[in-house]
Amino acid sequence: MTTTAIEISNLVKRFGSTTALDGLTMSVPTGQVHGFLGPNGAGKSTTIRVLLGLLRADSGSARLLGGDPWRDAASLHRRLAYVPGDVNLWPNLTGGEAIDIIGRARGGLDKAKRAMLIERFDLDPTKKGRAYSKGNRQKVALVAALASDVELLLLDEPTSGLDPLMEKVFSDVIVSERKDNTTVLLSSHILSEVEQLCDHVSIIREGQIVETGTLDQLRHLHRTRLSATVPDPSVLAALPGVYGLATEGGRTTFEADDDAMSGVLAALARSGATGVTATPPSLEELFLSHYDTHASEKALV
Amino acid sequence: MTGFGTAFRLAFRRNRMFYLWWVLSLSVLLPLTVTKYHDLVPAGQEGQLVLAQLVSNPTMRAILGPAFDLSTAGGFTFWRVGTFTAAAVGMMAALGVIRATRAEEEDGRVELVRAGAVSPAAPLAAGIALGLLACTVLGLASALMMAAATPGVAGAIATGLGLMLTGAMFVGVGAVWAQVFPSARTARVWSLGIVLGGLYLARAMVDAPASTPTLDAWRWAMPLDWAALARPYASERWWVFLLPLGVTVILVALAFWLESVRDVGAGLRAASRGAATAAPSLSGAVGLSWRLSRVSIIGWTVGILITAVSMGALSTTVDSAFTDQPQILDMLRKLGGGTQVIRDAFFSAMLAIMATIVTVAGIMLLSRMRSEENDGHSEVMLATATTRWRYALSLLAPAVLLPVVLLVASGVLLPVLQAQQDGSSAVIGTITTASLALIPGIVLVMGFAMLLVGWLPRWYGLAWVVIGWSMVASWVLALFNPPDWLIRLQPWGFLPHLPSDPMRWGAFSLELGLGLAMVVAGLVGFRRRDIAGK
Repeated sequence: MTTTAIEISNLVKRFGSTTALDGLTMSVPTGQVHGFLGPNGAGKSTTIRVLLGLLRADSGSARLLGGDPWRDAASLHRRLAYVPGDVNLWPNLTGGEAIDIIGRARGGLDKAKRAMLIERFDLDPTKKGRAYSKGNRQKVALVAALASDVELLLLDEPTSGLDPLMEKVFSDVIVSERKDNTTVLLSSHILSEVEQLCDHVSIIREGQIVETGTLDQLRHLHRTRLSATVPDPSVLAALPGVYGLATEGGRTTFEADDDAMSGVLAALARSGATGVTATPPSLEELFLSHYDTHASEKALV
Repeated sequence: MTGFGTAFRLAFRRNRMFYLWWVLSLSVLLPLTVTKYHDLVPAGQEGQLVLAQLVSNPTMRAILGPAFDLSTAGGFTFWRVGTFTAAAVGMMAALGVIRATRAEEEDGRVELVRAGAVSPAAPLAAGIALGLLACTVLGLASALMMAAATPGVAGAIATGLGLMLTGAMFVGVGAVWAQVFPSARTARVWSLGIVLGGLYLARAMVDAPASTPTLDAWRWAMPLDWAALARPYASERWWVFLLPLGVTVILVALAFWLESVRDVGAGLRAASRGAATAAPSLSGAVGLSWRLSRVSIIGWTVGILITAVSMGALSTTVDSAFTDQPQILDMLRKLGGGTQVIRDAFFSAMLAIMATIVTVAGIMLLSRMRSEENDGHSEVMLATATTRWRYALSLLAPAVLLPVVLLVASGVLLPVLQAQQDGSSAVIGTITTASLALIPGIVLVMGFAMLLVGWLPRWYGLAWVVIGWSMVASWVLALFNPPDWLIRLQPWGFLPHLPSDPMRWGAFSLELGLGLAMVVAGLVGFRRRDIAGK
């Protein structure tokens, strides 16, 4: 049993003149639910497809469950399940048949789990593929993937098209998979989902991992937003690690570095501030800060 | 009709290249043949004999249709390529209208158009109008070129009208099936495989035997004979064109009515439900491949078996066809074979045609590898414990085996009725052996197709070009006295056509080996390359 489920280093993948993965390095330990965040076209699907042995890397290395994803594809695939980003079913096969074909081709599925998932996702397995809505096609792919007992789940934007109720069911299922020590790579751009389910997050931009760590570690790199009614805001201006100070309608708002926090709070207490609120950075802000700054850098160039 | 203009411009933009190539290649066929008339039919007595021999040959009549006045270049040309071209125009029309209507609808694009301020029938009307326009342009171009190439303006006009209206009928056929079935693939199979193929076969059965009053009456029930029955260049009968015109009007009206009673994206029947779990046989890549292709496999098998038995029946008419042609019988006797020679040539010709047609089935089956990959299904299957070899073989094996089995089955079935007439099964053995000798051609084409799948998947269309070329080479090219190597430059060109040719093991094994090598190279390519996703 290896302790690292996914180990990628310096992976490069080009399609003609476009470079989809540009020296991507990341690792996912066994048993972790790892969020894989990035906007459309950043290289999330390409990474997953290299891990599945569908694409051949131009350089760099990738290891999956201790094996080579290209050479050992078929044997590794017995131990993993995959949900593609854009699910397209066989038009004249029923959803139930598609689930069974995919499951059997993987080496069998757990019938009880299949029935349980179909019920929880409220899926009608007797409809033909062409008759399903986008959300229902997604459910078919999810049931097909989750009904097998596997060590690793590769999920490429698995909740696209699902309604909020079904997103909740999906979250519950992933939580129970985590208890069974299943490794999950969850690619997404829905931040609340990642925030809720994942222990670790990697953020990908233009084929490179730009930030990785636990949510706490990532938040640590960013400032907390504070708001308070302060009799004399000027006491704050002198403090180190305070940014963007502004007072409007009696409320003072500013941002503070994590390591400056104790000084800031002490100063607030001394100055007799009231109605103090502190908001930790959401994943949304982390995400936007990466992509916004990048976009504005680009605009300047 | 609100929005017709928009829908028509869209259809035109999306299909202009499709129609351009069809119209260009079909409209030159007749004018080109006309220019070769004097090479093919020498002047005087000799020419008369050549013509008499051609016309009395049931094989020729089965393939080409009824002959009227062959003494003029125009009349001969219409008999030699007219009915065949008209059927090809029908193929263009049916494919074109399905492409512009049901295929767009299946991909969800009609929905986008219908959400705009357009009347519900506008997309269908645009597809039909474009198809009719293409047929008209094709008819007009052929008529103008024929009028320029050979005397007889009335004949040229009748030729153009014949092509145009035969095409128009199949605009109707395609439009109707496109309403009935939710899948463009099924609509194509019904339009071409069942209606066009069935009508061509029925026509051949009626036209091949020597003329009798009953058969002449039956001929009027053959829509693909109507263009010829209008007698271009043989005192034209204009009223005959009312028949295809009437059928076109009825079919188009039917298509519009069907369109008005169904939902967007649906066929006529409500989508049926199916099994909640997969049958035990539906397991893994092999089970999936069979499930996806079983309808095509069964359909092709039934179609080829019927075709083989019924075309084979024509050989029994060879003797009676020549009883009123004593000169030819005499000539054949001098050559030493009697009608036996004609019969052998008949079976050889039929087998060569069958080999090309069954290979179409193979290329269609293997095209699944392309469509499955483009639809993202290959990705899903290859993300399971299915190896690339196994996956590729699950789709390749039926695509190679089906045409081989159907060719050999044709070899057995073509001479069945002849054997019954002879009271000896010897002929079955001879013709079955002859079919075995043609197998390397199938392997060669399928090897080339697999090579494309493995290395240049976007160029899969080249496999169709090879088949199209071998049809042109055997049906049309021979007319132009090209160098021998050019006629032979096709998958079955170098193979021995038994029993007329002697067996040539060298060509047989070389071509078989080359085909198998390409199959393996294609598989290796598929093993090594990236798999496209949705």
